[in-house]
Amino acid sequence: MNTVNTQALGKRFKAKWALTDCSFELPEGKICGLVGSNGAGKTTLLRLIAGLAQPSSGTVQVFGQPPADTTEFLQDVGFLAQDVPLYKRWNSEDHLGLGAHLNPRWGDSLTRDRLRSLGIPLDQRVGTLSGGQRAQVALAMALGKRPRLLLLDEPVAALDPLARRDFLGVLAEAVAEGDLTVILSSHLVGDLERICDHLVLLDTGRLVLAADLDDVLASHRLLTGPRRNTFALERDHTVLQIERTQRQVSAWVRLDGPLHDPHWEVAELGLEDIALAYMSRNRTRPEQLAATEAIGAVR
Amino acid sequence: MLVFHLAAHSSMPAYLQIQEQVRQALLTGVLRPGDQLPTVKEVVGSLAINPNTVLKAYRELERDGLVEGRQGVGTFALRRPDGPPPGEQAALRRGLARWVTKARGAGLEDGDMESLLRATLRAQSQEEVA
Amino acid sequence: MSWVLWRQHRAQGAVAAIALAAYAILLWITGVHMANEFHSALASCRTNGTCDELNLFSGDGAIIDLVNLSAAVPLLMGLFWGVTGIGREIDSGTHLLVWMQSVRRRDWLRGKITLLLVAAAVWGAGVTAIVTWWSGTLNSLDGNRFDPGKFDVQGIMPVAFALFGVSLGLAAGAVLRRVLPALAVTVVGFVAVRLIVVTYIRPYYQAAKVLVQPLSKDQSVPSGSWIITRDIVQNGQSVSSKLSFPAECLTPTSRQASDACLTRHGFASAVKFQPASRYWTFQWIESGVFVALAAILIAVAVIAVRRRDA
Repeated sequence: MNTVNTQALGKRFKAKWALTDCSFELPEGKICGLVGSNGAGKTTLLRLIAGLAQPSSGTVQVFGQPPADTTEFLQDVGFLAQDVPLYKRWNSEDHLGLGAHLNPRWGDSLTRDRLRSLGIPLDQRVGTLSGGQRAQVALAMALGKRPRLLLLDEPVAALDPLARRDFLGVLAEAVAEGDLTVILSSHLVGDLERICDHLVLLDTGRLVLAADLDDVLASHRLLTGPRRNTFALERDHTVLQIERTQRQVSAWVRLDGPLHDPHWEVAELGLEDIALAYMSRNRTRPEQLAATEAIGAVR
Repeated sequence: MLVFHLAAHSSMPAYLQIQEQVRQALLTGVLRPGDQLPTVKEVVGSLAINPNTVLKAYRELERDGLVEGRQGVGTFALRRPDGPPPGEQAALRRGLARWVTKARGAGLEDGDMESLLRATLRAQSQEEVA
Repeated sequence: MSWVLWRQHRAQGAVAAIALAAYAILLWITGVHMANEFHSALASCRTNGTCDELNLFSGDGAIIDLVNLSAAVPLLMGLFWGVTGIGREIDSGTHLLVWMQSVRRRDWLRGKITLLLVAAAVWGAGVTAIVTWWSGTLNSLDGNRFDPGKFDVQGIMPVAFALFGVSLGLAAGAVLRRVLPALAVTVVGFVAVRLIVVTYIRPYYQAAKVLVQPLSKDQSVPSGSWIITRDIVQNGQSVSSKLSFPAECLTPTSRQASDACLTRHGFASAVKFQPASRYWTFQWIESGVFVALAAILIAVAVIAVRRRDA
């Protein structure tokens, strides 16, 4: 079963649509990276999945059901908001108490051990901990209730590289233990490349790409060659972006089949460049975009 | 205990790097047949990578007959891969390290060295075919 | 859930308990003292016959002010308990932490509201019990318990006001979602509603009784009554201004002659008042008004929390 399933999901605030026509499926057990620049709609999408916001159009299902104010849903879905909300005057021990009393599936010793192994003192006020330690406490809280789906909104944006590594390490360990799917948003693509195996890319409120990460890295290439027309390329594959200089043409493409033309020089693309190519396609020449998609549909 | 490292900007996928490091460890004798490999949990906890990456690496190693996965217990080394004896392996490694130092001194970056190695391997294997 | 509520509010509860205890001790000591003073003064004035000119407690201004200030307690509850109950949770973002645990939002809400309303009722009852007991002496001296300074802080009014104040704070916090605006709205709303009710609504819970008397220096009404208006009427009709007084009555030889002249022309004094016997009726009616307002505000808070996006 898919953990998350959205169909034409949209969210509007007053007159502005923060998210439009978003449709994708997320299989179980994945660590999904939700990528996009600020304002792309990542937080909106996560809140819709968590049930913290209601859709303006379309639907979203989590484990086959729309999000609801029920114990069944709330037990299964964890959410770590962007500012890492904790009670600053409480210590970690108090937060563990909150978790234990509000969650039937709470894993107390597991969570305690996790915090202890990270060297976080349980009797210190959370407001006086470092940013990295606070993020770890919040993550421990979210994991401690043993959800089946965990949603994290830019959890490592404000952390130094070491704290970031520690945080993602704890997250990866939890997934390795089994029965956990994660959606993790970030505007830093590099963080996600190591840990994610699925990718959802948003740009200006639109879903631009949703696919398995290995497939994405395997199928996207940068083709460079002497300047000439690119009709064949655009017919047979999905061209995201083209740059032409006097002598040369460069094309960022998704290969939808074998590349027959030997005159292209082929280079692999990192995730960041792939994301940029999709974003540039999303923002310019929508008519051309429609034409390319029409060609794809005919094929 | 075997500890893995991932090169930050290598073009070699993570699962291949892990595979290679296990192979190297078996060749140099750091890992001996019967020793347990780090658990998936331990590896992802320290490297912050996807568990499937490690699983893929271990699966490939198992397919090559170098390791064996025991359900509920862990993954264990089976045999040493075909290759030079540990002493010679270590000597080859030292020779390579000296070359790397020389290349770096000449101004080559890691990526340049990798490309050079790949080109050389390609050229040599084409020679063998011919 | 109850553990969490306790942990969140235990500091506030402790402060309120200590304050209430201190207040109780202070009022008990002074109350006993005032009662003794009153009884001994009463005993001595009976022998002298000077009971009409008793002048007591002029030096106790401070404690009397403190008792009058207990009218502010319901507003303080609204600010410290009501606004922080929901408003601060949302303002600081911790609602995203607590609403994504496994307890349903509606259960969280029910627990919070129940705790705060029960606490408001209990504390309100505690304060009014102390103040009503303490006021026994002063009430004997000046029987008019309708005076706002007394009506609002004795009897059951403080309980109703406390429920209203906390409900207003909860609703303001739930709707505005920011602490400072919610505090402002609670203060303004509480003061405005109370003022409007006292001035324009309370006098009219029941039709006032009218006592028509000849004009004279002494206008007496039954003791303990609440005087609403004093009017001059002519043959039963209310008189708009003194211009309608016949000129001959306005050339004063003496006040008594003037009054006698006006009386011959059919003028009389009409006093609208609420008798002391209606005190408890009015307390119950006004409590009902404020409890109804509280119920509406709670409904607003519930809808604001459950229907809107987090």
